[in-house]
Amino acid sequence: MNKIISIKDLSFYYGDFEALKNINLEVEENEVLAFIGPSGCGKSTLLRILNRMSDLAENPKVKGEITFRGQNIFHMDTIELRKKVGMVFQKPNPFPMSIYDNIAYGPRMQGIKKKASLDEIVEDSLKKAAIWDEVKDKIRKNAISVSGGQQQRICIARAIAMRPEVLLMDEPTSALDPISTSKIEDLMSELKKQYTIIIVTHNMQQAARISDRTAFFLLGELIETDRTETIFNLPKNKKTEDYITGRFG
Amino acid sequence: MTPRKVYEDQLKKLNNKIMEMGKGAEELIDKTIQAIISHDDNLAKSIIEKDDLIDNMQLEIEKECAMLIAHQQPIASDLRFVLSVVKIVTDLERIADQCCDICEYSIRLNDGTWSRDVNYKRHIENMALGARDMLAEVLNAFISKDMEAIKATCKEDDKIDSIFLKVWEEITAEMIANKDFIQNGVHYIMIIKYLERIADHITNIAEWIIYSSTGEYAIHKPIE
Repeated sequence: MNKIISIKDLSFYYGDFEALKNINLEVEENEVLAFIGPSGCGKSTLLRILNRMSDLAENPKVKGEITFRGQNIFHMDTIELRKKVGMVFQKPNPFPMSIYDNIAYGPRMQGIKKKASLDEIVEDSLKKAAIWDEVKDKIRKNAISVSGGQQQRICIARAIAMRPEVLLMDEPTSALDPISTSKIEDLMSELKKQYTIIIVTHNMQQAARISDRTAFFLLGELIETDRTETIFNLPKNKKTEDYITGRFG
Repeated sequence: MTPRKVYEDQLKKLNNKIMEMGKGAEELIDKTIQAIISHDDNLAKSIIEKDDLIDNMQLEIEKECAMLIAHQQPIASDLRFVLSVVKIVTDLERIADQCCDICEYSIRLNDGTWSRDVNYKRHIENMALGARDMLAEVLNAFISKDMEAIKATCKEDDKIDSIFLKVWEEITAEMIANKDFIQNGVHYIMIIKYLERIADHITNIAEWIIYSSTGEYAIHKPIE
């Protein structure tokens, strides 16, 4: 497996508060890596640092290094980085415009104007996000008019339209019903053939079902990273065991 | 209140029930020894009649395990514990069945050679006491999580196996030499075979306890 992202001695501060403490982690290509841990453990913070959404935080400070394909992300142009490392949020957040325009938004911003090219990108992205069949007849309708589960897959399609290499997902199914959740989970196992996925989830069973590896965070520290089957059967650290079995958190 | 108090209580309840079933099986072995050694047919019959008690415990515990999995989705050590309980109740139920089988053969023993069969009765008693002690030690280790103690108990199974082979040879030799002994000899062979199987089931239980505590699959592997 090739390493796509390497995190070395990373600490992150919101002002004086140290939200992440000396994190070391490698992300492999085409894996689904789950971040788990109680609220406030730093898992979403780390996810947001990976495409530098964290730059938007108040008074952020970073120590250490993150490389994406060998390039230090803190020296990269943020737009270039976010094209390569896309993000899907907890709550579906389609733009208040048609489904088509949602997907075409990013490519248009990148200068693609030809209708045929945009049509191809829109169809391809919606197909990859397993939503094409459900929306192909209403592609000009407002994206907000479809169900929450469909909106989330449209957001995934919107991220895919930028041809990213990594998809960051911050609790992407926590606002969805079980059937929509299953569709997103099935989609992730398809998407990992082409993309690397890093997902933050509070749902232990979801992490166990969909991820190849799991990283457990507690109070800003990375406690344990291992194959998901090991984390959920025989974790090495007692804190991991206590968290996943619900003894605290 | 600790997180998941209801869940913790359900796990404790399951632990208590498996211990209760284990103690029940231990008592059954004790009574079975008594029934054979004193050739007490009434006691043997009462053991056979009470087999349903252990069967019902097995069903009840299995249902609770299924409910726990469905409602609480246990993982890691909790899941191993629940899975081990499901396996252990099957072994305990088989031990109870084999006590009943032994009692049936005890009832069939005829008076012809009974009074002279002191040697075989002593071997049977030794095997049965060995099995009973193994079960008691395994149940204690289930509580204490003393893996060294449990591994030592597993090795007792080898001793019971060798007694079985030795006694089987003695019985077979006497059956060849003395036709009057054949009928009881067959019954004794069945009894010692069931006792040997009981010790195997206890070894299985010990191996599931090791799995529950350490995640190590000891089943079908020699205990180090």
